[in-house]
Amino acid sequence: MKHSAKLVSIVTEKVFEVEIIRLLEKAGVKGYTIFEGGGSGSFHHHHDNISPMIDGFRIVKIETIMSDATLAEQIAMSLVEEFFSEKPGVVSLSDVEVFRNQKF
Amino acid sequence: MDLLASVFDLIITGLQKPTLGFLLGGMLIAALGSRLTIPDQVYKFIVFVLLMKVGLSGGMEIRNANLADLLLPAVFAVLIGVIIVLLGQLVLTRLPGIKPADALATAGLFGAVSASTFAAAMLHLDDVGMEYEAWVSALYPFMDIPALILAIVLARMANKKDPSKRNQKSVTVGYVIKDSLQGSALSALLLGLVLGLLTRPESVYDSFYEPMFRGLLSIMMLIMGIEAWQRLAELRRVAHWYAIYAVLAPIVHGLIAFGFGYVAHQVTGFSPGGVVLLSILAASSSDISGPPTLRAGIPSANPSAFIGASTSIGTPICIAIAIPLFTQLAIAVF
Repeated sequence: MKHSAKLVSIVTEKVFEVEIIRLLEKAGVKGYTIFEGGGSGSFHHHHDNISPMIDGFRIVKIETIMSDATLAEQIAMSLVEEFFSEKPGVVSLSDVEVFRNQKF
Repeated sequence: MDLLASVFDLIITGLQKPTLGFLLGGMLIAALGSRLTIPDQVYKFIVFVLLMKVGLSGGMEIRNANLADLLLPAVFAVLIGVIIVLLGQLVLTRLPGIKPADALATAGLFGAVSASTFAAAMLHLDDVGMEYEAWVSALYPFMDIPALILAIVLARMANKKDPSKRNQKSVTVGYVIKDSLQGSALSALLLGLVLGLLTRPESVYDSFYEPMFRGLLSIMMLIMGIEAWQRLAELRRVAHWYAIYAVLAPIVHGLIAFGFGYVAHQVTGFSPGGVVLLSILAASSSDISGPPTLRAGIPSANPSAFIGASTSIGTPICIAIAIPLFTQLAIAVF
């Protein structure tokens, strides 16, 4: 049985990971997944292989799926307004379909 | 001509030493586009062994040292860290094309300390046979943490004046202290100090940490050389003033610390080698633990500017020029 839900995706630097997770948990998300990687943007180069010295500058993508679409949008808006007004990061929302709705 | 010849001689001897040789070798292979990399985990292990060795030797020496001797250099270390940040703010904010946040992050990074540069300086003093108090390593946090805190607090005050940014949340002083102490380099150093002080680590120190030190430091220098070259490309995209600052800062900061060290030498008999190490603590700029702390503390600052200045120019200048320079100065003065 499929249910519609919202996927909140946050791309930022690893150094901000702990703070974001704290915000997500406070907002009531039930779980999240973190992916590490590299990339390039307006602010800084993020190589995934050539900078072994500073771990905190790696790119991370934090994803969480929420069955409550309104709450997901609130979280995304507050991240953009409060957290990413100054810090580098990208927040996006997508519609997804999940199977076990109780998990989200 | 004689003077020129002796300076040339000094440079050649310096280049043949493993520390500088490996650093330049790293820069060379990176410049040639080599795909040689040292795995992250190996690099982290090396930082751990180097700092543990420095901490252990310091801790073992503090056991027999008069702690009152440590007091004045520690106070001076705090003062030097503060002076470097204020001086950096004064100079950099007056230059064209430099944002206050970038200026403060750069000044903070140059006030903070590079553990590997410090280890290279200790090795250099061992090579030339100049004695120093091993507890000088305990001065590291006294310079590092105040410099980072001051840079972040000043940046926050500058932000408060800007009404559009007044409501932004920023990190607390407590966070900076905690984050610095929890960093890999300082954790290893402080643990080493405690273990050296409270336990009897001589057997592992003599059989493992001491013999490993030189070899691992050479690999560390290679990694720093590669990193320095790669960061240079980023530095080219920001104002050229960062490059000029990064060339001059290690020498100026080292000289300021040398002055303080000289006073400590006169007052408490701080050794000439200790004065050199205090100068190198000041001359060096953080490569590992400082950047993420500043990134979290001053997120509007451009990392290409502050890390580029520190890692690609500040550190090589410090290792190639400041270490031999202040050693020679100590030989001449004391």
